[in-house]
Amino acid sequence: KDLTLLSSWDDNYNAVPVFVGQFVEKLKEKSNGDLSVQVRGPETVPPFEQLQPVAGGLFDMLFTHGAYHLGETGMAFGLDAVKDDPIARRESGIYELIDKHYQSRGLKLIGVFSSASGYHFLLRQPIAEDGALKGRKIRASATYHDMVQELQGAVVTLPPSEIYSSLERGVVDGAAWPVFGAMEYRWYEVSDYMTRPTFGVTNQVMLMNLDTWNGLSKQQQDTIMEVARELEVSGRQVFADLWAKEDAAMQEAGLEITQFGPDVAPKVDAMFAEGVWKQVRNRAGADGEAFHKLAVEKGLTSQ
Amino acid sequence: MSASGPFRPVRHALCLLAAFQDVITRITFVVAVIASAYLTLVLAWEVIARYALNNPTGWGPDTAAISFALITFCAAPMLAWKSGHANMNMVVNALPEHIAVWLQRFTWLLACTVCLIAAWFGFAELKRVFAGNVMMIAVTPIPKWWLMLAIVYALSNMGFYFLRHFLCTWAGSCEQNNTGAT
Amino acid sequence: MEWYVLISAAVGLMLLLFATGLPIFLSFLTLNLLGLYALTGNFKGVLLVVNSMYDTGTSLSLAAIPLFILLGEILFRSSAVNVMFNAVDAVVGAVKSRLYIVSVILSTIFGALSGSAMAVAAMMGASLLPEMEKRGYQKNMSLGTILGGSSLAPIIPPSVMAVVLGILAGVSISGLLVAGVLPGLLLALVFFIYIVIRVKLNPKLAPAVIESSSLSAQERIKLLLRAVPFLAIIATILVLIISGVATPTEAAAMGCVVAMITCSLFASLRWPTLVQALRSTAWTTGMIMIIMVCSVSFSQILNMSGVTTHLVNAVTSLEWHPVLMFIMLMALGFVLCMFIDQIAVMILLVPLYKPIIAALGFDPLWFWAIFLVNVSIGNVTPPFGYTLFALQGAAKGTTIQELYRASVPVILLYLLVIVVLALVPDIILWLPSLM
Ligand code: NA
Ligand code: NA
Repeated sequence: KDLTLLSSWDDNYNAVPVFVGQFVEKLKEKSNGDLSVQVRGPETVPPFEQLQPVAGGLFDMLFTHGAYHLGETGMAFGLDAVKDDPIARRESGIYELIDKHYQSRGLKLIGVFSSASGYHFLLRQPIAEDGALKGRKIRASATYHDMVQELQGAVVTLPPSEIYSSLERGVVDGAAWPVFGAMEYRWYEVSDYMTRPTFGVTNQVMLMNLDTWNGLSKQQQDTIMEVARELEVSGRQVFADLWAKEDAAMQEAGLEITQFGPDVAPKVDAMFAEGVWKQVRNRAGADGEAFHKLAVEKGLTSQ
Repeated sequence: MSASGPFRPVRHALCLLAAFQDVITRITFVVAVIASAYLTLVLAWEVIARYALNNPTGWGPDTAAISFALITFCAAPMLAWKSGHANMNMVVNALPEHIAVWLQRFTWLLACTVCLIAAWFGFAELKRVFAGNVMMIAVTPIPKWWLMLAIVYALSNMGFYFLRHFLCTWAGSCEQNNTGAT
Repeated sequence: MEWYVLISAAVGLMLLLFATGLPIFLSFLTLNLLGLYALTGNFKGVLLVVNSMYDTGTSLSLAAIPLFILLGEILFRSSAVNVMFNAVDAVVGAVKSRLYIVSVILSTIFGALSGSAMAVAAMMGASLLPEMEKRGYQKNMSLGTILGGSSLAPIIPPSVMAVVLGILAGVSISGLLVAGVLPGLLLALVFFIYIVIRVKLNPKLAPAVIESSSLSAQERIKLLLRAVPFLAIIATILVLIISGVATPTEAAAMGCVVAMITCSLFASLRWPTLVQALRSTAWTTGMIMIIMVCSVSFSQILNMSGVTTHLVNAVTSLEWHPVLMFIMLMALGFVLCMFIDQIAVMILLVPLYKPIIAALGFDPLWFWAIFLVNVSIGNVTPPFGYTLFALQGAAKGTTIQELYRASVPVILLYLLVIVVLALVPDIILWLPSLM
């Protein structure tokens, strides 16, 4: 069977070759060529509009980030506040909850792929005495909105393409982004500091149209799940190595580490998590509540 | 061609309906004009707030995006009414009149069909985002159905104007007052 | 079905629909619906088109379009135009072929103030052309200078076309806008030299008597100074963009506000004029943006069908020399622009060119800036060109054949400049490199 997969990014984003590329390859191998996947990128459907076409059956699979369909539901976004441990996540029953939620929207959860790293701020000036981002203008998307405010900064909305020039000219004092990005987009040239500790976990989710899923044989379904489950672990390991290299490369390129203040540093992960859970509850209703409760119960979130 | 006998009431009702459509179109065009002014002012203010006052608004760019979309979708029906949409009429102009009329009828009917099909599926999506309370992805949460409504409005209203243009190629006068651009 | 059958059928049907006189946005919409039906067997996929309308319609980068239009409207509807005219007139002074030169300088300045060529052509055709005819300037040359000058509008920022192209090609809009400054000025210079040479070779082209000028040096300086506030508008936009303080859209909004203030202080901008300008902006924006929102899904559907990938593989496997590829890519755009609306041409070609030029290793900014110049000529290439029509509308009693004839030297000069730009990339890349 030939499946189409819609990806929110093209090959330049490192999660695509690591997860999508590997997924396609391993699936073909394990199914002895029975299952093949054709990948379509963001030039086919814009990233923020991809959930519905997959739910509606125009494409079979989706590889995206939970925040990209935050307008529809915040359920998958919640994973960014869940401890980065693929095995513990699988065992906790969280995936069943998320799966059930997406099934009501005509989608099946295939896997959650962690980049083994989180988010940080790139800053022009080091963290000052306030230990936070007091009075600074920070370019941030909806993902970090609550967190920036919690750190007493002001959110500036700019498209990613404007980050370089706005950092360079001081239009913003900093930008929030996953820890991968500063090298690829050369932001290290226009900012001097990166904040530590990092916070949250960057996750990509893979979903499948429910009818497509139900139309597969039990054997095909098992193969897909097996590949996904293995890749959650092996792909994460690839990313752990990538992240170590990226961290070294950023410091080599001149990005200095600036620590949040002693009062703030232990709390940044919780601040981020709180913002995420707020969105999850707002955007995924009762299922979101249940998700948050379960994560707290299992000790898989800091908030 | 003059309307007479049993057709008169039908024709009268149609003209009333057309007049109603025109009023709606004029009103939404005013919305588009206001949206143009808002877009200009809010973005200029955002630059000043961010750069001079060091206090970006957050809602500025979000509402600017909405007002931009409103210009497009609230102004487009007016262009359908006044035949202001960009097209290439060299071929039509070069044809003998009796053939050109039929080509015109074909294009009006095609235009109407395409707009209404798109409007119909837009309406399905409108119902879905309304029922699901889907939000635009922005710093300020704004319901997506506001804009979906504008899109469905633009498509359907344009569809009805193209239908009117089509009917008027048969009926002669009725209510066509294509006085050109505003 | 084979991919090349699909793409030829799609483009063929598109051209046929254009030819029927169906509005351009509906030609795209029709093809999109048919394409989705062909791919999925039902109309459920229309969802993609509707969501693409939403996505494109709310794109703030494209919001520079209404703002650039509004800027031009404000300047043309208040008497700012007269102020500029008097200033240029005063500077040029009493020389042979004076009004040709005024025409080129004036349209360059208006091009730098306006986002679209049509507005400049209509304005010049209504104001300067009758004056030129009255004073015995040759008509063909007069029309030529106006056609050439007004075609600079999409090249020199602000430019609606640069915004559209930037979005479609995925290159920096700021970069593309700034990249147009020097090529635009170079073109103006080329027109200037062309006039001087033509008149030298054939003195009958311009009135023999040197018009005596009654203005004193003092008066000239005064007229010139009055134009300075208006040049501050374009300076505001360019400085905001180059310094990176604001996005092109925000810079355009600031430009509009500065224009409103300047024109109410130094020209005759009043409330009714402003309302008229806003109405006209909404009208033109509706026209351009409805095409954009309905057509972006065209390239998305081509992607979905896999046609794009096949086409790119086929073209790159030709292994032609890059120079030959460059000429072919430009020529296709040029020929299509003869017959079709330029925005439609960009929507058709840019998504297909994008992966090809990446595979060829061309500098995107260089390639797309030249493509912008190339498409800008489409405004004046017969038989279909908005500038030709706008000028015909404004210049009473001018036939379209006269305009076609007048456009030929302009087109040749443009092609010459394109060759220069291709050979000397720094003309394009130097200013953006400062950003
Ligand atoms: Na311009
Ligand atoms: Na042309």
